[in-house]
Amino acid sequence: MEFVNEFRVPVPINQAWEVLTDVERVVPAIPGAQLLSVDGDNFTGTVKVKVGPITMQYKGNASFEDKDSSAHRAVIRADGKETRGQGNASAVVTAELKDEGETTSCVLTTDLTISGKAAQFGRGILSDVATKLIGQFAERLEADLVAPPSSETPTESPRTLSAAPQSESGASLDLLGVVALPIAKRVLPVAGALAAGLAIGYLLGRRR
Amino acid sequence: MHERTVRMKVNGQDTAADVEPRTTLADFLRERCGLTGTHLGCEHGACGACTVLLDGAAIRSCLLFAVQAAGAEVTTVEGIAAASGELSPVQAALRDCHGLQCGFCTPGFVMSITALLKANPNPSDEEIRQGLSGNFCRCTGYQGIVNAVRVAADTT
Amino acid sequence: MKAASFDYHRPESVDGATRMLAELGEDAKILAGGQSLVPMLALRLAFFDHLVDISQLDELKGIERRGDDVWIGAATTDAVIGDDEQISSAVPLLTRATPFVGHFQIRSRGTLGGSIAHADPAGEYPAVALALGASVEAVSPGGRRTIPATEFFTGVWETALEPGEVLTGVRFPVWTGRRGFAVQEFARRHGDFAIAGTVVAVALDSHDRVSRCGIGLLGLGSTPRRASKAEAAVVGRSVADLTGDDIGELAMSDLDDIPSDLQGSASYRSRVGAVLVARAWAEAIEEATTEATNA
Repeated sequence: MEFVNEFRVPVPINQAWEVLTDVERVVPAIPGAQLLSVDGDNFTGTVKVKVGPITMQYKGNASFEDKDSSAHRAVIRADGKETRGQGNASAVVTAELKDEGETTSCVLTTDLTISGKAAQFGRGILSDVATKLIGQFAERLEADLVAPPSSETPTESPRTLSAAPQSESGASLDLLGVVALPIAKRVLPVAGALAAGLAIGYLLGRRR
Repeated sequence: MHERTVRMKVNGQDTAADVEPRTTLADFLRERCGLTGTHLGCEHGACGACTVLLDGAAIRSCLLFAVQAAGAEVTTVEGIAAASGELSPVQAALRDCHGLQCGFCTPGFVMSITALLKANPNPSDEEIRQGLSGNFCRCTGYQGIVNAVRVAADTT
Repeated sequence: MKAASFDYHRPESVDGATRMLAELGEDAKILAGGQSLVPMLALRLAFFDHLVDISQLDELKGIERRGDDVWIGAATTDAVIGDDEQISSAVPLLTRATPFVGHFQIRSRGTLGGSIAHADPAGEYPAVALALGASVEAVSPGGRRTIPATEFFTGVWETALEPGEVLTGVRFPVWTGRRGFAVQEFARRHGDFAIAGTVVAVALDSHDRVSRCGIGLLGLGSTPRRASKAEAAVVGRSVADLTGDDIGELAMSDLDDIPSDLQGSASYRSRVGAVLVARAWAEAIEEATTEATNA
């Protein structure tokens, strides 16, 4: 199934592209996400998503199938497995930035495939969750963009960035200040895509 | 996690056991009390095969943890017939109206119908059907069961 | 399936419950009737390390007239609500919605507070609370607060309750005068989750004009919804000028996230919803026009 979501960031398109292709800035902004490793265009991570009493924890990998910095378009493929056996999710997310002068809008088109328990769900809840996640992500990213990290400090590997689900923008900044890494920053856009790809898949079958 | 001792009355008998909190009343009755008349169908509250009476009210025993039933009086299908073994009017009616085939759903129906007729001794046909809507039967097509409720209501 | 392991706690008071929740953190969950939570645990869709059982707390039980509202304690069961005479005369919409809540065995344990806090988009009680403009009362270590139903339901199974907050009761406004109430629901079998449903409350003035209207919709969005456009369109109008079909269509026109799933497509649900609203409207108007003034 396909979803289209959109969010806006308060910076010009080139800056937006730079930030959104920077895994370490983008992943902490995804509610409940944790980056486990980055290797060039490939990265692994987990995303914990709550929908009411249900928590789904997806662990998986994602990679860029395409990055076009002149067209400001990227395609990311993500595959995740729910850690408690509730199924798999895979997604191909296309992110397109649109120049709006002082702001940039990002349109995410997600093509999602769900298997296992989650496959009984209708697109309603999936779409709802994706929209909510992306909304929260956009808020955090915006807060981060308003006050970017100061300097880069080397850290030991493996790098792990945890995004506490209730982190304020201040906490995000701390994380970024500490863990900014000398790693290929030309990778990856759209934490939103990652979130959408890894997180969707819970919905309960409408049992009677 | 931590086991707890739970005490309750089952079919009039004091019962106590140590259980994990996640043990449902259904599993407690079946495995700890040996009362396997209460059946497990869907284990999520839809099919009614696990229906028992808790302090007189019909409930889904698969949706109650045994620890929650502490101090309560539980009645299962094993406690419905008289001490002499004589079937209750509901049980006799189900037998007479061919309201069972494989018998898997039957204990749940016995408990539900018993509770229904206690609350409403003379139900209309509509009320009978609505009242039975929480118990599923795969064999009979329900007609015999509905007739049995009518007969049981008339003979009580 | 069986639920995953958890520790069971039974606090002696609501304050005890909120303290426990604060200590145990996000892996603790309130257990009331369990008729919605336990299936999720049994199917292993939800996991909690601790369950805090509040179902027996007397503070959370009861039905009381408080001014212009009826207060119902959160742990009051559906069965008690369905049989209660005070509710039947003061908040008839609740009484009429109750038979649609699952089956009578479910209603023996299911609670009002649980239903509201669980916030299933196809739940009957949430839709009633929304349609009548009820108020939800909640308690946390930080104190008590009241949340209007219109601000309470924020998403699928999501509410305005903060983590660690306990829903203690709901106040339902009592409608007076010439009132009519109706509930219409469609499901494949009685007791199944509604494919679409509506709860309608209407009050008329002495000239058969609509003075007040509440139309709650269930199963037609990610939360229960109010058909605000339809409500606004009928207030002040004469009953003779209104047709149920128009109101039904208007009620559906507001909806932007009607679910599509195995039970039915969005367009199907919308058609069913429109018809149900039309029927409920007719029923409610019939009652309001023939009813003598009632306090």
